[in-house]
Amino acid sequence: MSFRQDRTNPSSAVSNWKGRTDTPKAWPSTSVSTWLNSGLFGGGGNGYIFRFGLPDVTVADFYPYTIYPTSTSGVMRVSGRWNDAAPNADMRIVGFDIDLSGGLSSPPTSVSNQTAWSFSITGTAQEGIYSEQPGGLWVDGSDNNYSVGNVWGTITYDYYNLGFAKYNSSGVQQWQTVFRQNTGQISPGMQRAVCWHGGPDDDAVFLTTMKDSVAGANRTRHQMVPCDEGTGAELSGSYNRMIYPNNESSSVNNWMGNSLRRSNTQGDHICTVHQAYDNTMKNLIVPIVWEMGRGYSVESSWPATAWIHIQNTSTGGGGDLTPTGVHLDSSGNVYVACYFPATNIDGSGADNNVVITKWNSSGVLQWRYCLRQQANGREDPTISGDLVIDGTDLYVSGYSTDVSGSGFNAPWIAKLDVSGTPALTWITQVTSPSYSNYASTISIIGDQVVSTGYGQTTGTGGSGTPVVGMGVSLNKDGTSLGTADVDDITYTARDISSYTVFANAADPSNPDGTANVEIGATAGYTQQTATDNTTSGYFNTKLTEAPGTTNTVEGGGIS
Amino acid sequence: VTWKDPNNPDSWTRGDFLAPPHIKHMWEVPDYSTYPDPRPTGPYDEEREIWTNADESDFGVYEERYVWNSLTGDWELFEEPDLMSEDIHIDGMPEE
Repeated sequence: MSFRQDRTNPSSAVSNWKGRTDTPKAWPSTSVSTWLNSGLFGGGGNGYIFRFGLPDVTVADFYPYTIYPTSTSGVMRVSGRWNDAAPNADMRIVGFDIDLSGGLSSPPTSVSNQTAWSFSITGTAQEGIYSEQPGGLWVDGSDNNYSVGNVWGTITYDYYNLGFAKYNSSGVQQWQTVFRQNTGQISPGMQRAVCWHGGPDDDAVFLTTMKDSVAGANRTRHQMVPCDEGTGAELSGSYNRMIYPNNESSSVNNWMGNSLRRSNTQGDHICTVHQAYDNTMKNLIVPIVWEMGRGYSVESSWPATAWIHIQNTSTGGGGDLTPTGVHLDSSGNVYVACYFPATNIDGSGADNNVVITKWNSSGVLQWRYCLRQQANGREDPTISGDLVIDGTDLYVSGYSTDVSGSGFNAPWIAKLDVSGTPALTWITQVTSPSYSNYASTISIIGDQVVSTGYGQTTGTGGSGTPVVGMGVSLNKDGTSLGTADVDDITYTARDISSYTVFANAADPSNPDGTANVEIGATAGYTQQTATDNTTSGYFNTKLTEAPGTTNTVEGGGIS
Repeated sequence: VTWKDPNNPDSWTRGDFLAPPHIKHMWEVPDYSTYPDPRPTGPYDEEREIWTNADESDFGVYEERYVWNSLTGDWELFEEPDLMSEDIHIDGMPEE
């Protein structure tokens, strides 16, 4: 897969690309929505762009992967892989709070509650730890912070290990544990993980990938491990749950993939979405709704006898589906965002497309729609981030090639009306002339739709500049269009609906004849939960402190 | 610091754990076109404990246990790893 750097002139693209005529659009006029802004939502303003991390430290890196609400309205906690002196292995997981409560007119100006977490198994050398997995941070109702990340070992400990830590609301670490497999078979797993805390038993839980040997062939499986909330120690292995294809012995290719994501919570329920390979050697997307609490089981209404999944049956492009976001609504419906390669309309390759799906509370697939960026006979790669429901509006984040032709990547936010047949209401891309940005999260904060990711520019003379967090706050009605200056960088929020195909991916004769997407649900899998105590906890040297270099945030309003 | 194009996976050395997350995700997708042969193309016969081929003939025992190494981009015949030695002192680990 490659990201194409060139781009057609957007003006000609627009004029030649007529867009879909059968997709309802509800793009409000600027004048009307400006009135709505000030009259109904309070605070006025047209949204803003913000950057956070260490923008003034030349070689610093910050890759935020999660933004999560705290108990203080509008205050969000971000967390991610952080390094104030790259390149080295001295990576840490850093988190801090950003106050976004000022509404659309008030970009954030300061951060608070900064924490840094790292790991050393020897006590003398700090191994790197990185956490760049959406879902790897959980903030509970008391603002306790649960974080999970990968520990990169030294030569002596050349394994993937998994670190799990808790901070209290004051940013003081309560415990830190490290896990690795103890099967004695295949153990380079634990590369990806998500975590969660709560339920009737008040457990802290992580879900990770691991390797195992089944029927003589190596397999990747996913394992859920509940831990003691007070110490981080693994509970009885009888609470562990293993996820794998029931027919994994039918082919050496049947196993779980590396990607997994965790949803929000609804009562004691969460949804996880898993990547799995079948004997077609394509990635499948598999959502599972869980009833959390000891007994840890698949929700009773969720079919246990059918492996509910979608598979790309598009011609061309290989077809691997990769999940990036999952949301569980209050009625038990499950929404998943994923991306996959499909043959470009000009046959030049197979750039990525986004697919958004819905399952009902009984696990019945309701619809799947493709979101594809193309214009003037050309296609650009577009990759999904996360998604969140607000009434009957589904907001999705992602990133794609800048339609203005900079050659960089740019985040986008799309609003879908899912009250009936899904329809694209608006989609806005936020570009800069010298910056590539990647989005991975999305949240609703009052009247704002906020998405965060990271970005980096080439800098003067190609020397490079720090990787920093980048956030976008847009009005929910889609009127946040225009430019914003942040730290001498001008960003442009642009309507890209005319570059966007939003089509029913279930229709093999896709109406516009170009989306080239067909996704089918195939049978042949059984979802199983199993007890398999294959991990073990190890305490490690605690190395926890506030980051040595203070993070900052700055923003600029869109006008 | 030499700037590496975040858009271009080829500008990063596979396995560099300083690479951006979206580059790492690309590496993690197994390349089945390079999966080592021979391998069974049919299901595992649990009664006879052998693998079969797609034409229903017997493949036999298959214990290669190849694993995709996203750091190298290779399918590796996995060797059983050594477990963490109990003799290794780990700071912070409680005494038994």
